[in-house]
Amino acid sequence: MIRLSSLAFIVLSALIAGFLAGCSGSKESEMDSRLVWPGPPDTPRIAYVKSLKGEDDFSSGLGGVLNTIAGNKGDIKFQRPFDVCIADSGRIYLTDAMLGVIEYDMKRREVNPIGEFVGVDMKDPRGIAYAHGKVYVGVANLGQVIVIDGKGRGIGKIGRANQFPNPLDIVADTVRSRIYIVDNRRHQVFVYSEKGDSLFTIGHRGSGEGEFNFPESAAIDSHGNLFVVDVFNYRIEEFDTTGRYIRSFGKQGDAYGTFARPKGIAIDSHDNFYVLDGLHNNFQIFDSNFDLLMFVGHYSPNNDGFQNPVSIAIDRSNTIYVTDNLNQRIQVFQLLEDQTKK
Amino acid sequence: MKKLLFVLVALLVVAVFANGQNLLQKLPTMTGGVQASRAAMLKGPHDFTPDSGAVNTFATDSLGNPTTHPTGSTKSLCQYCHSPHVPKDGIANPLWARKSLVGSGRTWGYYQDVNTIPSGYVTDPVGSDNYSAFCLGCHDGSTGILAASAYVAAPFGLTGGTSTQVGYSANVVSGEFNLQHVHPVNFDYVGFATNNPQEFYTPASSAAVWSGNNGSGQITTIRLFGGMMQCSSCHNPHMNSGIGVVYTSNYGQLCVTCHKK
Repeated sequence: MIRLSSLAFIVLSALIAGFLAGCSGSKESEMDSRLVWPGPPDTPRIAYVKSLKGEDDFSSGLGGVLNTIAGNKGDIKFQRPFDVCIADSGRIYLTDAMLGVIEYDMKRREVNPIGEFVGVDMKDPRGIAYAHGKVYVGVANLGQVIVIDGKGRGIGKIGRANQFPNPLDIVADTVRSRIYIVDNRRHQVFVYSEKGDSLFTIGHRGSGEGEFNFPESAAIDSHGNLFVVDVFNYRIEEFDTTGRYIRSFGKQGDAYGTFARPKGIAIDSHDNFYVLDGLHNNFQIFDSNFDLLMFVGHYSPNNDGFQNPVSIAIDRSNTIYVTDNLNQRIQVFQLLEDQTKK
Repeated sequence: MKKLLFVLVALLVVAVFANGQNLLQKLPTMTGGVQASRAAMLKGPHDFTPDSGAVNTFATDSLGNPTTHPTGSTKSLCQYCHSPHVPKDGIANPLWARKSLVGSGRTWGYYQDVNTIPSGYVTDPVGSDNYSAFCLGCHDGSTGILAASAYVAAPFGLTGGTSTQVGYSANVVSGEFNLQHVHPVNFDYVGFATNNPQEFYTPASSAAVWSGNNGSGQITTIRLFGGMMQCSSCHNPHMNSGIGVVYTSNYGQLCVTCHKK
């Protein structure tokens, strides 16, 4: 049954990709629709799905015609996409160093800049997270996290002014109604309730257990444990829900399973870890014992790779989103479900 | 006789050892090269050693150069960007701790000055490695932030500027920042200058070190890399503060090293 559903997915994704390729009329797209990792003859486990680049994504087909009538002209093109988070029902939010905060709605086929009604200047947005209908944006020029509701209105701030001078990642723990704020300049993780109450902090600068040297991002697994990417210690550190250090893994290098500029981390529904590396230009997948399973990507302007990827997110159906910074796009992949069962 | 021989050998050993010691002691006082880079980097923005943020007291030699790093011998300063000897698939000079990117066909629209530089010059000629890709590996729009006031002031006279981190928008005219307009990197300067000799100084060669022109003579601090202008043409990453501009920008001196004005 699982195999069937996987097959159905492959067929479906091939159809979707074929449809997209048909729209763009590009040979390259047709080829890209068959991009899988690992390549033949191995069993494919990750498939490339599509690239998100901005309003132009919706300029073809019926919705595109409607959008054009409505006055949208493809003005919004991602320029320096930084962090991405997944809301429910086919919506994602991203921060872009040039554009600010963007809502990308695949169902309504809309790309909307968020911020006009927020009421504060969010010119330097960094990390972004979504929880319970609200968007949490780390804003470097304020040093605070701004809370935005579903209509794009600013409804609150977390932290004192300049408390988080470079909040590169926000992670929502929807089960415990918490948010984690990873600050790259304070070398610390701040833990808050979704309401904005400070709970505790994790770590400080250093190289010892539970310490950080330029932490960049984090993710939580199915147990609520926190995994922090500790860039210049070249490792991932794990903490339990009380902030207690548990273990770490990783080291610097260019061999398989090592890190050069680990930047993003995401965890799929099987508690596999996807670690995105800005210099390797790939994401490496580890199982929950931190054993390397495979990697995806290399330095490339095409859909088989990345140019300085920055952050990675995975939704409930194990669809993978990577902000591909210098390629000015978000790359979408799919975990081919049953293939990863051990 | 044996005693004498032993003493002689011992003296020889001591002499060699002492000579080696002297060499080691001399290294930190050198004014150029790797030791100077190391000294300049300590506690600077590119000192990524885990406790560089702490208040450290350095042991210094008679010239004030740090002789030891307080974090101890296990903490490497250089490893964050350089790999000892030639890294796997890497580059012999300057020992980047990453793979060579030669021939991967990249184009960075974001760093192409569409207004003044025709297309084709901001690409990567075969055989030239893209040094700027390394810088942008960290400076992705989120890090490397400076106080806006430091940048908004002279020399560019920008007003209303916002962020100055590499990757943010910078536009001199409108007062916003758009690096597409003012910071083209991975830019084939030699090719461009050769085709526009009335406007730009053409370097004698596309060798790694270019002798630019400052109006009254040649300077050697502006560097091209295989004929390409990269971040490190104008910024020295081995610095202890600021943005590491390699040549003074007072009164347009930096500009006229390339522009014939």
